[in-house]
Amino acid sequence: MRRSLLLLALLTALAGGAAPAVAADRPFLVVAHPAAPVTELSRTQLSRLFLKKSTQWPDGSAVRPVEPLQPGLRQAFARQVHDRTLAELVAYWNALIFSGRELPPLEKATDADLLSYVRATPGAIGYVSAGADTAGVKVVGVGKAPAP
Amino acid sequence: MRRLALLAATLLAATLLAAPIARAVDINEGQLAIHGDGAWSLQKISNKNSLFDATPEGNYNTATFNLLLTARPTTELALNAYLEFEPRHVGLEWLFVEWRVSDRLRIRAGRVKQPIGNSGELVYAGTTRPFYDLAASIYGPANIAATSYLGVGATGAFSSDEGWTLGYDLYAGALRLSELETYRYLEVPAHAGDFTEQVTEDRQQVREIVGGRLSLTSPFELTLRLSGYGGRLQKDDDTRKITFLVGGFSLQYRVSRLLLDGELFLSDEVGVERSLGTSLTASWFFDEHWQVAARVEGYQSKVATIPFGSPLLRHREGALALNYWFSPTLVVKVSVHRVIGNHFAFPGDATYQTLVTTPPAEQTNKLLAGVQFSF
Repeated sequence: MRRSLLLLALLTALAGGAAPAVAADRPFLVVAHPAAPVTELSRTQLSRLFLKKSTQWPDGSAVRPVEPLQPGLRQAFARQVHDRTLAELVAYWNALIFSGRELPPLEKATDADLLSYVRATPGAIGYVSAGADTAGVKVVGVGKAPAP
Repeated sequence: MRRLALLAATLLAATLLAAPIARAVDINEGQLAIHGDGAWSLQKISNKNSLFDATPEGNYNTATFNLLLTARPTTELALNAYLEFEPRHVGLEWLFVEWRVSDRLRIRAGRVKQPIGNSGELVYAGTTRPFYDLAASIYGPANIAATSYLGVGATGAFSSDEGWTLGYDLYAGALRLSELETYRYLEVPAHAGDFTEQVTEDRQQVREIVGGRLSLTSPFELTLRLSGYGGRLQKDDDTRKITFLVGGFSLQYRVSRLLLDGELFLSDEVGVERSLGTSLTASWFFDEHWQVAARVEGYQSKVATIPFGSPLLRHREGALALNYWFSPTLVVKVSVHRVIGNHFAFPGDATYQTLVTTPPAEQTNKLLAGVQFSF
């Protein structure tokens, strides 16, 4: 019986029931403040948060997106989440900045800086290198989660 | 002149070196952000006419620099100020406070960018478009779009998971419009005034305005916008109050390499003058650096007391541009323009009377070479 439960638990974990994991071909992990009211976001939802098209979590609290400065990570996130090039993203933000409508997310120089900010800031969400030590933050799965 | 050229060259060199790595300044985790944009160009005309900054001898004195300051004392509150530095002018272009209730409702008050058309809020930032300037037939002194309104407004957006976004803007207050009444001498005696004055832009205030814009963006990046406003217009040199209405629609399709942008606006000073402004722009990136663009635009004014065919009432322009983008925040632009009509193109020293008694060349060619940057 115990062996069956262990096997079931293992299968459940592999099927996504445990802490969400990112796809193997993604060089980044999405991390959020431990109290963030999500464990998984769809690619569209994630894109909307980082493009500041959604600025509130489902519970009404403010989303505080933060991005790394590493060009490789930025490029991968732009392509895989926003389906845009970095140049297109700069053009997107230029239009919002100079019309006085919105500012781009904060930027942090290193994974450690970003993780430290996310750990300490309620509502924060960011992404770091896939191999970063994510202790103290919530790793958010990127999948096909229902709308919050 | 030599000092000016030196200043321009220094500005150009500085931007070429600095802009690719230029970043906004963020202070205290984004509580204060500083952005900026700038431009310099040489603009030359083929005949004796002038066309805004373009002159027959070639105008080098066109450098501009703008600073955008955004303070975010709390997540709900934003304070925005845009400072403009030009060769003969330093000013505060807009200054407003925004209270964010939610994504669907943001309340704004102060001197706010007028949300009109595709580009009404982006008149200055040249790195947001393929041509150095926006189409004068809509965003110039055409009695259609102002740079800002003074009053209160609301803005917000509704989005679906399928990628559709419906944005809205509503506002009320007053605004100042610019126009060129190059035809004024033809109105004699309907229009009182000194016709030996040099032709200059008139400023007129539209009060008690109510306006709005609806923007629908599809998942495939096609945006349709409907904008308009109405109010009571009073010219600086006149005590009459005239009902004034503006309305139009805009389309924009922006994907990675391609931009298509089309707009049509009508303005009506009821019983006095009607104007139509339209523009169509297409641009294409060959790679991440080289871009070509083409634009046609037209402006036609109809004044009850003036023959419709007068070239002083119309502006037609076709333009081609070749741009080199060092980065998305630094671009060198070269464009050629052919203009037909004298509503905007006329000799710099013309008076209202000489425009009629000594008609200027109706066809004007312009060459522009310039650099624009932002950070």
